[in-house]
Amino acid sequence: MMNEKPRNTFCGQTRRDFLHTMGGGFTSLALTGLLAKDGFLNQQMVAADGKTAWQSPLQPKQSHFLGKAKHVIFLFMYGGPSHVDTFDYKPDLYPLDGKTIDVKTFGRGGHKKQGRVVGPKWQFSPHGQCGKNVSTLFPHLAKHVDDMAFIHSMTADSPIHGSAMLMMNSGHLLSGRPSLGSWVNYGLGTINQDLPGYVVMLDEKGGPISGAKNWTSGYMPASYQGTVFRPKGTPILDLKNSRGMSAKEQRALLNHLNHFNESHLADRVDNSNLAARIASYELAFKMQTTAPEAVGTDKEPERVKDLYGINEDRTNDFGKKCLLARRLVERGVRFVQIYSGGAHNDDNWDAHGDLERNHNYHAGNTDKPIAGLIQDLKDRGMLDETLIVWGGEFGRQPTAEYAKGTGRDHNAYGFTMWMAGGGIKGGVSVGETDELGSAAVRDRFHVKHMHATVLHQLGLDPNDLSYFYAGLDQRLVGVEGAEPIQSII
Amino acid sequence: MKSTVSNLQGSLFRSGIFFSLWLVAAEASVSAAPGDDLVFFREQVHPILRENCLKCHGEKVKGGLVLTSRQGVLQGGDSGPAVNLTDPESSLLLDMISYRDEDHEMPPKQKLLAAEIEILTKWVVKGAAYAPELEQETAGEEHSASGYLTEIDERTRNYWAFRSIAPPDVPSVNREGWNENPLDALVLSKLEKAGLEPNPPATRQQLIRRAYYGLIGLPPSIEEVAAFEADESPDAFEKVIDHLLSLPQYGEKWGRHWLDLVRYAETNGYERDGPKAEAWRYRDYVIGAFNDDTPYDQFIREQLAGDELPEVTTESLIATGYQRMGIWDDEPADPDQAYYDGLDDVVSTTSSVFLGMTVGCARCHDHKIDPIPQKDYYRMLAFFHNTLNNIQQRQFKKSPYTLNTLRVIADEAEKATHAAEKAKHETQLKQLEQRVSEFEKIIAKQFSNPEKEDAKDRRTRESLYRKKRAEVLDESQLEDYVVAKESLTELKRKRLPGLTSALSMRENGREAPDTHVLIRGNAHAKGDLVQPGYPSVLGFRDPIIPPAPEGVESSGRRLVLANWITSPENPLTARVIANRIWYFHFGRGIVRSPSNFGQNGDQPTHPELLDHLATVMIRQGWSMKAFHKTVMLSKTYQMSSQGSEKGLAEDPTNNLFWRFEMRRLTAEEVRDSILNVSGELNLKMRGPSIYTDIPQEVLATASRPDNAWGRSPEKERSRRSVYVYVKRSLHEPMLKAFDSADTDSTCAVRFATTVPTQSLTMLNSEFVNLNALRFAERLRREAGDDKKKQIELGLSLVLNRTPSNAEVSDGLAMMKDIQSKADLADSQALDRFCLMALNLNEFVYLD
Repeated sequence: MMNEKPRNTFCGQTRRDFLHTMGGGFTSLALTGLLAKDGFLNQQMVAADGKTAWQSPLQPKQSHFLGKAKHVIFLFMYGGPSHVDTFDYKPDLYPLDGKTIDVKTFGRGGHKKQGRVVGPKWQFSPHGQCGKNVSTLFPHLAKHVDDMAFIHSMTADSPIHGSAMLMMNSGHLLSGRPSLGSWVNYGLGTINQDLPGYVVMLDEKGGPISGAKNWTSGYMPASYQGTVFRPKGTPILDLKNSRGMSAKEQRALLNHLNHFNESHLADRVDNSNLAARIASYELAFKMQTTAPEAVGTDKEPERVKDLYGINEDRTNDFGKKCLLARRLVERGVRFVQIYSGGAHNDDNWDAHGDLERNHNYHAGNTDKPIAGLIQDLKDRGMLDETLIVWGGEFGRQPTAEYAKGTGRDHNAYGFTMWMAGGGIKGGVSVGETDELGSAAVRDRFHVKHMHATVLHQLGLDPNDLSYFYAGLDQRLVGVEGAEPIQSII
Repeated sequence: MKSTVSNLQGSLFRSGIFFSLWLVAAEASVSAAPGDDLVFFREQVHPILRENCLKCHGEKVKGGLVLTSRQGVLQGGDSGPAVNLTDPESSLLLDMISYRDEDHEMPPKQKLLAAEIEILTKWVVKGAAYAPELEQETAGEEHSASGYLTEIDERTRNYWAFRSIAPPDVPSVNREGWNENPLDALVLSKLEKAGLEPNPPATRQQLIRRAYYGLIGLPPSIEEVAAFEADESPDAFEKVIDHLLSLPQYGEKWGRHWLDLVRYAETNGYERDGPKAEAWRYRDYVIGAFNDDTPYDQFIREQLAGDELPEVTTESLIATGYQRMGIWDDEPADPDQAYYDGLDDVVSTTSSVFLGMTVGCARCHDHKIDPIPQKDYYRMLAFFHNTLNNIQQRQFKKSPYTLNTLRVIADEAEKATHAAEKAKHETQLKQLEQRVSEFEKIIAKQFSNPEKEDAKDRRTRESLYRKKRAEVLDESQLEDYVVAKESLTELKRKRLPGLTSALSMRENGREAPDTHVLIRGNAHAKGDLVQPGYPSVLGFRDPIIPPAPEGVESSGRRLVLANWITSPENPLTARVIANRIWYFHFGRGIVRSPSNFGQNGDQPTHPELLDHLATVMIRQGWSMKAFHKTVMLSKTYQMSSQGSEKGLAEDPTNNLFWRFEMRRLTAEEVRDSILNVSGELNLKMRGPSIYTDIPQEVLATASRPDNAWGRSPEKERSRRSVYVYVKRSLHEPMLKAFDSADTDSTCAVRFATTVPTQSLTMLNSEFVNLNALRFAERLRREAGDDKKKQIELGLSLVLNRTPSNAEVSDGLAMMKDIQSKADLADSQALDRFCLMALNLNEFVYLD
């Protein structure tokens, strides 16, 4: 029968109902759910069918199954770190330095069949119980290899920044799709009402290319998009009055605003949007204290600051962001993404010219802070429920991009990412690239498998988490679906 | 691991197979007993299949391929038979497992071991025997019954949206005034059946506010409200509607609706997010079309085929910019795939916007829910296949679909002036060049032999001129030379402004290329050849494409498509646009998913009403203005939004239209209304887009913060939101906060979220605070020093009604309270009151 819709229910509603909700004027309930926790709006809530209580888009939701992780911290090494110089040890590559060999590559410079090998510029040595080889770029991180799972056989569909960034963040080369953090908040809701559920911290140098596209909620409501947080000054846009109004004054203003709004509401009690809007002002007011409190990394003990490298010039900025990430996660923020590198060229890991200078710089800025983050989370017993993801939008080629110099072009045929915490096995390495690191050859994984793993660790079934849009049940992992990487779970 | 360069190279050829096929073949010819083949299959082949292949091609049916039976193997999947018995070595299966081609590598996780590849190769070469006891029926989740009708047959052809539009029988109802407009009778008869009462009419103030925002996106003035409240003539409201439809602000409001649908943006997205030159002309075209009440069918024809019309106009050329508004990657990883992504953007947008059909879902396979076979997608694509898809090129430079998308639209006068200026410029250039060259010849005579050699290089030559000029030329010569040289450089740098151009559609020539079905949507996997055609389920005859008029370098295909879409026989077009207009007025469509009339969309709550409205649309010559009047003059439109106990209890979602739905202002309306209240709104129309003040924090999120956004003069910054520059990677924060449309694909329905960050914007942002101060200034200017009068005026500007005495005293109390608490001057207290007033729910919600 035409009207029968046997499949696909969402949160107890048919997805059609959910669509009505999102598109049909009942959409402003994002907040109602937040408030429902306080019992504030129970009286006013009207459900789509008039009977069931309303599910808000951001209300904490039941996951598909009990997940190991509750939070994600995604450390985005924008520009594409070279795997053969960091975590993917290729001893055969050193002696080939300077030799021209046959190797298929595809990067910014197009498809090539030959190239001049650039031997890895750093030495590797084994670390930890597992004996993982790590290059000298990461002396601090190397101490934590027993907590980390390396995926050496990552592949992506594009070796070009624009589309590759979108793929790493939203699972698709074309823009317009929600980002990973949006999917997580859509699937699980947010735990803390006073803070955004999805926070993004950018590099001092600027945002990544495509800017807000990287943390967009795409076709989902804007309530799921990432909120840019700044570790210095006012953390969130418009958190402070542009004309310096004091909190006391603002409180008085809000009291009178509420008074007006309540009398307006009196004749329209059935419209929960109005009550939601009243309450949103109270939440905003609260946020003005909770958000600055959350960014108050200064109050942390010196020992902790040292751990993150905050007291050293080089690592101060990224260290602060890592510490802030921990504080946000502690306060219930679901998804935090921190960018290492911003803007263009050598302001990020995009080492086309001088590989050594570039990677020494970016690794040096981030090694200690990330190691500190792992240690700190572990010390607090938070690592188990916090999933850390590290990686760029792709890796780099074993060969040089130009006739001279050490710069490497982009490589999406094979690269390394690692995860730690959140139920991920420590001290394991899965997948392999070939002897040169030019392409993944063993246990190849695609970006969507990484996404599937993140969702799975949070208790969401990647093949089940869907959002109805443009006539389709859209999924982060695409129509074909993807399984999590079992070997690291 | 010790490797030499040469064996490394060997292993790096991912396509390499280290045994020769002829050996296997020779072996096969010796031992060919079927019994042996089956043993070989059981013991060696099947374990490999089971381990590596059957999860996706057995338990699941990926790519349409099952490998659990011999038949499955021979039948193959979307890309063709897996095994070719007549030429086994060319079998697709062997291509795939040997990773010969980057797009076809199986299993995807990792390449099989060489020994395994050898076994499978042997198996294929020997005829792919399959042990019957190991053959399995496939469960095939993709093939399981979905409950949707996807076959093209009697039932699907009769689906409500695909049936011809039929004017319904209009029932007669028992309520005075509700029989005059069939629309009302159709609504009321359903309410009567459900035992529900329609709401009483809205108050005059509510109604005029609703109508103003609904048609022009701005509130009525205090005087306009008062005049309407006092007008006792029976056509008082009709006069209001006529007035509003005559205002240019109408086109700005309704043009914006259209811009949402056509994913309007002025940049391409991706890494550089480069500008779409002249995109704003399309925005102005849309606004103008609404203001001129261009019939909707013509509006469609202009956008789809404005360059192929019998009478091409400047406006119709600009209209084709519709096809250029999508995202566009100037540096695609796979240029061929990206080319089809560009076509997909147009096919998907066109089918969902004009037809309410999700044809885009059939790009990779037959539609899973609606009766749209994959072939239909490519038949639709064929209409657009001769179009180009580039703006500024990087990798696309060398490909055949590279032609500029800008077209000159200058008139004769402009061309003449331009030609004259160009000629003048060239003459000047020539004169200067000659002068310079005379001197340079003199200098060059003094070059030494090695210098002469060096001088062959332009740069070296220039530096030699510089080095030697002083010693060769005398003082007056030198001065003349330097002046001439500088003027020449300057003149060369000065580029004459180009002729007025438009971003538009242009085809490759009169012959369109062949269109193939692309297997799994893969640009590199061509399937059957198809011809342009309409969705088969609609039952139209395949089009015959008449050649384009003489001299027109175009296939003429898009005009045929446009004519079909706009023909009165098309069952979808009129229904879709009538439903959209209804949605924009009532906050929800009769079909709640306005761009999806398929089975997975929403079914119409009032199918007869929809058919009635579609009939009206066509009968009134596709006039949108006439349609607005029909709808707005109805009782249904004029009902109040008040809740009623029975209505709320029995039909809380207002499925039956027992009341008018309250709505929040759209992003543009919020911003424009704030400017309107503060008295700053600049109603200037048309022209290149403007840049608002974007906070530094937001600019810092761009990869090039210094070049992320432009700067417009102050007065320009206060223009209506429809004129704000639309940049894909940087959203205007105020508009984004209130759910402006995402621009990457068509946006049929706006969200209306309520989140605390909106409250932060409204309380704290510089934009709102600045306008609150200006608002207070205005009150002091217009109401004098009397606090009571200031508050009265302030509230009536914000609420578009006369405030009650109680509200005025509440306002006074507010000022007094905040003054005492924060130790403020009178003027500051009024500033705060104004900020509060802009935050009122009533300001941003309509009854």
